Amino acid sequence: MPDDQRPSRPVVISVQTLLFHTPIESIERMLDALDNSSRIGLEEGACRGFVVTLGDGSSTRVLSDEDVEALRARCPHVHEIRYHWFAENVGTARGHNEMAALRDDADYLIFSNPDVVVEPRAIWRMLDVFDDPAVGFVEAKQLPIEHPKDFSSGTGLTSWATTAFAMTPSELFTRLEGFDAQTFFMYCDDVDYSWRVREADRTVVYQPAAVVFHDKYLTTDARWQPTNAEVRYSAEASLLMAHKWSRPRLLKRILKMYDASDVPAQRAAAAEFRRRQSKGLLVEPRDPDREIGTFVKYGYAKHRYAL
Amino acid sequence: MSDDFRKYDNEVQPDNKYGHTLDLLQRHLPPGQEGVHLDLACGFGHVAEQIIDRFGLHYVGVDVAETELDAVRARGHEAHVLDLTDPEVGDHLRKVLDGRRLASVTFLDGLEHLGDGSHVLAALGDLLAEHRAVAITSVPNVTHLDVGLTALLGRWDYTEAGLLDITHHQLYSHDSLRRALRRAGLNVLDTHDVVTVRSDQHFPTDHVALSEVTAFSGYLRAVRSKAEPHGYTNQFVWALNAAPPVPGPAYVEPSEQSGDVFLSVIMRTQGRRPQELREALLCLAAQSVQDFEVLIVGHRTEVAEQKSVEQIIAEQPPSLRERIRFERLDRGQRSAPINRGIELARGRYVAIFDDDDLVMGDWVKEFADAEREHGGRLLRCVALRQDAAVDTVLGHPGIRSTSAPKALYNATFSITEHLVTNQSPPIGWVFPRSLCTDFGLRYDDSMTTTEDWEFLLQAAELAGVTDIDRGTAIYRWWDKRESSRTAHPPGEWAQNQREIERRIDARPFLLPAGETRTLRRELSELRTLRKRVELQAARIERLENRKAAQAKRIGQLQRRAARSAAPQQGPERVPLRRRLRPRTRARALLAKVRRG
Repeated sequence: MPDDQRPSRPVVISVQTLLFHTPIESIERMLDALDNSSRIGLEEGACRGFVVTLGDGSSTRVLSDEDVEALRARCPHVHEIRYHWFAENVGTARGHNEMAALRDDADYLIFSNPDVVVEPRAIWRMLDVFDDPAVGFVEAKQLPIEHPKDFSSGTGLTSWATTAFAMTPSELFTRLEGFDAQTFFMYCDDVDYSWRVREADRTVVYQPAAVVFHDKYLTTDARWQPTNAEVRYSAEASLLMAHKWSRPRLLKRILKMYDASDVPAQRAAAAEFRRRQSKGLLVEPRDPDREIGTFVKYGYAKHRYAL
Repeated sequence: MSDDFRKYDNEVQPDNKYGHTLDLLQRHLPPGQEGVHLDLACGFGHVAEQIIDRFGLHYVGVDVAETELDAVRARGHEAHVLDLTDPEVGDHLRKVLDGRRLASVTFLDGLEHLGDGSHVLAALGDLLAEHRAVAITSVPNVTHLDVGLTALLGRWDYTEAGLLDITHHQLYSHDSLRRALRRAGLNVLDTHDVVTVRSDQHFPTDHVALSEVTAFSGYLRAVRSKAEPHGYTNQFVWALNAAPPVPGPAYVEPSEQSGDVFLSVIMRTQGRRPQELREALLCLAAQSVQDFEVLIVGHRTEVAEQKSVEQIIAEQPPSLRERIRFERLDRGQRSAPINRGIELARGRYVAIFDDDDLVMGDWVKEFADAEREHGGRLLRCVALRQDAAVDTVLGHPGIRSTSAPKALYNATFSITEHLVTNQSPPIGWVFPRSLCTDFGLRYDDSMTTTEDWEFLLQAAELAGVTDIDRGTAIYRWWDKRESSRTAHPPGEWAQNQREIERRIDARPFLLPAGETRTLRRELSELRTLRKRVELQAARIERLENRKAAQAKRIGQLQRRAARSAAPQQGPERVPLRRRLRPRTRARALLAKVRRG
């Protein structure tokens, strides 16, 4: 159990989000809610600084300089809104690492999707969880479609946290060298970070009382409809996770399944994995004793229900 | 004297406008009051003697028709010729009073005959204020069902007298009369309307729309009776006193008819589920279309619960907080807060959003898009159902979903299917507020459950339903916690369902276009199935008979076989002689001997 001290309140919160052709109305909704959260945190003495970094991985800028100025004027309780255009789709892992490096005075980092609206109390309830110094990564509950992964009743302990909206101490993020951008483009970079947090003897906590709205939809018969990109990158990530977290037999099984798949994105994922393997681009496997990684039916945690 | 002259010469009767007028005066004229009673548009002054005899007032009649005034004067009463449309009518009336105290006024069936009644009404308001007097007015109701039903079918017949008197210049409904009076500074103190099921406009008497027993008439009468209570009011007979005038035109501005906001979201809460309320408001803050207001009605909340709700509202982002109104309500059952919310609503449409429901980010947008082409109809999306439970993590109560969202409700709306079972959780549909303001629909607060189902059936029947092919709402089903589902026993739910069925059966029911196809299909299937069941039953009966016959035959054969197989165990063969008793044998021997 780590014995280091947590930053005492009030703290500095840095929220970072990666835009990708995101409509400005969606950015405004996200910022309005963050500004309101900051207002509450400042009024109650929970925070002394609240900054938002908007990284833009779109091919053309989502926000003009005037837009950014208008957003700053719109959010009087956010101390700084920084906009950084990457000029290419850098993926979530690299994008978040680079955004985190833009400032070094934050006590806590929050990774957020751009189509997320935060409940006024959510951030401060997540911060409460860090009163326990053993906690390394905290995830908020998503609405209207809750992630189905299981968590312990009472403690909230869980296998991993999704960066749709999750908080981690900056010090820990730096010490663990952020997300593994060499391995992951998008998808599973958060699972991998969660497991490295647990490797570092910290816990990952799911706090259902901290709620954010993530703009997701189901079909009329209640099925999840992933986009092509989601199918492609989650397939690729599943191979990389099995490799990195020492599951050779599982890797072999997934490769075989993808090779025989009718879904082109899955076949492409298998081909990409072999390309990386042949070029020596894969990282060294870890967790040889399988103490951390949790693989359950091609997922990374036991699920309460299938979605 | 011509018939035309005598057409308004009606007697004072207890159940006509004169009788009701005298009753109202009796109620509102202080005992022992002295002064003048002014009878505007007095005609023959029918009430003159009654006013003098019962109230001891000095009767003064005023009318524009000299001939009728002569008849009044001939009975010894004071009468003056006066044009009530004259802008200076107030001054003229003061001259008539000539400093005498005004105690009361009657203005019976006169207003509608004036081209412009605003001057006399304003003068009346001023006089009542100056003298603290009371007035009684009677005005025919042009919205009587007899007029309305025939007008709906294109018929509009003026008559010599009555509701559509050929000499009427202004026609009044309950609301338009109230508006005209308010503008003139006249307050309605009391009412004693003349109610007539069959008015003078009830002709031709064999008109199907006028008959009380036809389906067409029955349906419209049922709709009207909910919308407005004056379908059978023949004449409004109201007692008036003075009040500050409400300025405004004598007509209605068309812009007053619709709301500026698309949707009024009514959220009832008892303040006992703060986390669920937070989640519900978060869903609203995240809507891609923000053209809505939120009316949170705290129902029977304790002080601590009320403060909790107020704090949650205060924590919302300003853009949402500015559109939230919080109202406390300490009376009524489950539907009372909804009805209160509807009263406060300003939107064109209304949504009922319980504090534990969830919606997707396009919930408002999908409804708003549908309104453009289907405005006026119920708008219904697909609601999913998800099981949930409360789970406290590190001291904070949170909500844990315990199942995946499930598509348990029909994606398309059928009113006939809804007659059997409700397939539409309230969070999945919105209704035009006009159904409440213009049709008088309300959630029935006497029903302990299924009140939403009853409302839905009425609303869908009147407005029709447009289906939106999107799953935009989640109705949560609570594990291990009290909800309306668990708080009321199954018998109570069944009882309320029977009450809904009774109400539907009590009047004609309107089906939307295409719905009879569903009925035909279902009835055809039912008949086919019944026929099949009959055939199967006959076949089963035949088989059972055959089985019984075979069983009987088998039994016979088994018995026969058993007899054949068994060894012969009959009685030992004994000669006849040995079988006979000795005495018989002796007699036989003796007889043989005798025969020799």
